[in-house]
Amino acid sequence: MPLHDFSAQRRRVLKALGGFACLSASGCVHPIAEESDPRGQPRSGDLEVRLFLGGYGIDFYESAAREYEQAHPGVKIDIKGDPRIWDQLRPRFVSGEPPGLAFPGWGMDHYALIYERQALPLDDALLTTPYGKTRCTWRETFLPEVMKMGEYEGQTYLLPHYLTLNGWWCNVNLFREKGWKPPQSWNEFKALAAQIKSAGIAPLTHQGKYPYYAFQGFLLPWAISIGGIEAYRKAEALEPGAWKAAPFLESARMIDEIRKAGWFQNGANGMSHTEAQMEFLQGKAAMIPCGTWLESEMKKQLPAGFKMEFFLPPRVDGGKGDPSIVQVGVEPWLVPSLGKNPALAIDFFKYITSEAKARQFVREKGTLTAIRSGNEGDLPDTLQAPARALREAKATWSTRYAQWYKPFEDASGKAMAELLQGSVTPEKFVEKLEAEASRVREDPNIPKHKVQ
Amino acid sequence: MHRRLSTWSYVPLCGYALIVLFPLVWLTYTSLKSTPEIFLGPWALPRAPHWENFVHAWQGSSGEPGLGPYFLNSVVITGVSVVLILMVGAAATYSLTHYRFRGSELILNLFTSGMAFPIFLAAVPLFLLLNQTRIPGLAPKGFTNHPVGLVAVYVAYSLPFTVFVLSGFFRALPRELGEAARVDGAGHFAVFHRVMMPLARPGLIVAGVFNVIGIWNEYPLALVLLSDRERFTLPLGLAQITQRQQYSVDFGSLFAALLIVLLPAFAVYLAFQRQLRQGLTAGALKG
Amino acid sequence: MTRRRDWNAVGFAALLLTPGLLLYGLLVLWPMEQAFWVALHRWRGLSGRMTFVGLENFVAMAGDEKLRVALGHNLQFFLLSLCLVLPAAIWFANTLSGEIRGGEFFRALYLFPNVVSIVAVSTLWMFIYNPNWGLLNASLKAVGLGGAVTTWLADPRTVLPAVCVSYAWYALGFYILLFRGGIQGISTEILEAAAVDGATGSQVFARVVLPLLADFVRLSVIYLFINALNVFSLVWIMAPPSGTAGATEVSLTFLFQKGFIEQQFGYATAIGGVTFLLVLGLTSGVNRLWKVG
Repeated sequence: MPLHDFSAQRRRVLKALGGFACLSASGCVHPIAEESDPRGQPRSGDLEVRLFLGGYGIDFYESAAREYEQAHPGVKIDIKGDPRIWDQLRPRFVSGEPPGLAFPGWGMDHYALIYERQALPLDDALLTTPYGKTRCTWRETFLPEVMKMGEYEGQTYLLPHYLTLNGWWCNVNLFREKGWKPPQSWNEFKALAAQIKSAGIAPLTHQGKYPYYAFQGFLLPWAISIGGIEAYRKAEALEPGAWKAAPFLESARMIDEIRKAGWFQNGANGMSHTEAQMEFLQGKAAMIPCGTWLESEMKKQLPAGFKMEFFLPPRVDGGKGDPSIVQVGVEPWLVPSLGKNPALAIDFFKYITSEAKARQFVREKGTLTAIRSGNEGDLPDTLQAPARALREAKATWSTRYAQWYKPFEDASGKAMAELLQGSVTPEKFVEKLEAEASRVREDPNIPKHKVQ
Repeated sequence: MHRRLSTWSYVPLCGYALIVLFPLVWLTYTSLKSTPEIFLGPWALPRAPHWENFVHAWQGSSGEPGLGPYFLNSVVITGVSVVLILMVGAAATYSLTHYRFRGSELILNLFTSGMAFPIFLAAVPLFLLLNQTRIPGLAPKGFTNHPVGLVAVYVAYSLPFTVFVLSGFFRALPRELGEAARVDGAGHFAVFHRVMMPLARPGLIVAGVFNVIGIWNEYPLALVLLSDRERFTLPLGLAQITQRQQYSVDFGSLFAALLIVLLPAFAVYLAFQRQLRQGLTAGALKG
Repeated sequence: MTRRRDWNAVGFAALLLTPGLLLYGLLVLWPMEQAFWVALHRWRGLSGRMTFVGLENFVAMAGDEKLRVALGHNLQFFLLSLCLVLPAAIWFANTLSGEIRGGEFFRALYLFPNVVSIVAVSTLWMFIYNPNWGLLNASLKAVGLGGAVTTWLADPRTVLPAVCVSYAWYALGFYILLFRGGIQGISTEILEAAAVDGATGSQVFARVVLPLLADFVRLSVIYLFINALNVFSLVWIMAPPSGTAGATEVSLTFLFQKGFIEQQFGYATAIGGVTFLLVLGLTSGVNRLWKVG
């Protein structure tokens, strides 16, 4: 199979981008480039866009494409989506004929695409002005923390669109009826869990069939609360000893304590996300860890009058971590470096991420967005609490390591399943995490990411 | 055969019937329930039938595609593929089992061990091959998203199973019959066509029915080779609905969709099972 | 009698074989051969960039403990499905070949599960095994076996047998059909002769029918083995290995993890290639043994 001439491709792209190519190369910092006025930069040609067809559909992007076509005569945008788009994109990447713009979905290994130089670095484009604004760069319109998720070796390859927050949810009506309050701290949680259990309801359920929910909902938030974000950054960086350090061991012990006390719903270990979430909606379990997609995912199944509320996982009293910190997640977009018409792809995505379109997306789809000003204004009820948490957060974190180091994600998930079943002790559990982390650390074939 | 069964034999028979039937009956009535109903009382009968499940499964709901448009594609692809598979498969198997030549056993094993090769490893090279084979007029853009490409792939990938099943039946055919016919002056083709093929009918029906079911439900190859919605087959449509469960749970429609895909295959089976049985009992095989 | 090579026969045999061999060679063997080539490389499967590494992947396989465990699970799955399917298939095939009341009904019935797609089978059995309201636990409680109630698809001790039972439910009909074909092929004279000699039904079955089914038993064993090595969707949907602490890791889930999740396509392909050769060797071996026996 042929090696594609990447550098020529890249040159062509940079040329298409106009005069901004020199900026990062020469090191000159010039935040405000020319306005991306369509009249100044005529766009034309065909653009093929391939999208992951998930919970939010692709209708929003389709109508955005029609608007864009109207504003730019001569542009033709072909949009298609599929729930397993990554399987269709793989051979196209291999044959060097990828689409112009891609939202490859959770089944795609985005970082591997970067290692294979299949994604275009977007740093120069991010210095241009966004749609509808003149006084800032496109980059500045995104949440800065989220932009870090798309970086590799100092360049930005992946762009976010919608944003999810991970936390816990409680059954509002049940809590109101019983006079319970969402637990702010571990001690509050323990007291409340005992109460809930004696009321004949499972305090907590979880999506045991997919153990990463337990990482996002229990282990990592508590480890961060105990040891501060530094403890987590060390773990992300695979520093020796980081995964078995005290905060992680403490946190694993807390999970074990919940299991021993019988506060997890019976059988939750074998439940898919759907099964566990249905138990929560049916009031058989009072709380569940999940992302902000929960309501949209289950919207057809909400019992009449059911209300749920988002809250941050209970913090650990006396811990070093900032209590306002929130966990975010995105599903990134990218511009394939071998795709046709990359300049048009970038401009179309810039249009989608404009403030007006972002707000429209939030309103229509009921999700938060990675575009800063998109989360202001009218929000659906269930998003009020997450949006507030996001506004008040002094820092954010994400499970980037799981995307970077897939073998670690797999092995650590299996270890988590054992911990949740009670077949390993918390001590043995963190030993296993550490062993897997060092295996990845010592594997020269796995590219490593710097943690800032 | 004249053998009477003891009453005790009916215990496992009826037990098996129950085990086979109950899940299917359950699937059927569950497709008429709402999702909360399914989860609250998964084994209870529907309180009132939710026919809209079928409407959603067929037409799609809230802007998401349903199964309807893919039905005809599936019928055509499955029908054409199975006819070709039986022709190509029977010819190859007969050649390998009745004309012994050096390497015939090896080729037979090569065919059947194809069943063990994980299809998804061949997916990328297969896609590239079909995508780059371009024939002006027939397939100017290559054989991906092309019915001919998909049918050819289905025929090729069904050969291992077909040869496997047919080899058992062809081996059991008495070679003497063929030789006798040859002595009577019949040519090779006449022996194959007029003597052997009719005798192998039970095998052809077995292979045919299973290939219909297999191709009707085939997913991984269709996924890689088809990306135009107009060309989609039912399993791709079904997968869209199942995948959607991860973002928007609607089990009622999922079960309805499962049933919609199941019923035609079921009908084919019911239509052929009589012939299948007749095939098993008819002909020279009985001795 | 010396035989001259019959060129007519050779030509005809070649003619019959050509279309099948051509299609198979082009669309199955060629991509497969490409895959074997990939096994000699380090390749992420996301671009045309491949690094030749010789036998590195095969060497790594030899020392891969996780792969060994996964293949062990395949073997367990094979033995379990053999025990579940083979005796039952022969018994049902034999019983249904007799003259029985309601035979039409029972004979129409047994292939039903085979018509159902694997997605539907998996979904169905997930409902049966659900720990809280699943049919199995409910039935156990109803007959006073509440102590046996467990989280079938999460408990590492029960999950593999549980998945195997759902597979047996799905697959049994095919094997009944296979054996019925075999039994129908036994000439009635032989059976009648045996009956005249005063043999009882079970004696006829054991001494006459069973030995004549040997060829079909061979086919079944091979086919069950191949299917046990190929089990994937059922496991992936009902009990993905990460949620069972690896108790359901089989060779294809492992291959999928390596190739499609960890982007080690070279390694994944090496696993697929070795599995293929294993089956090829085993099929030939079993066929040869059977002939000698």
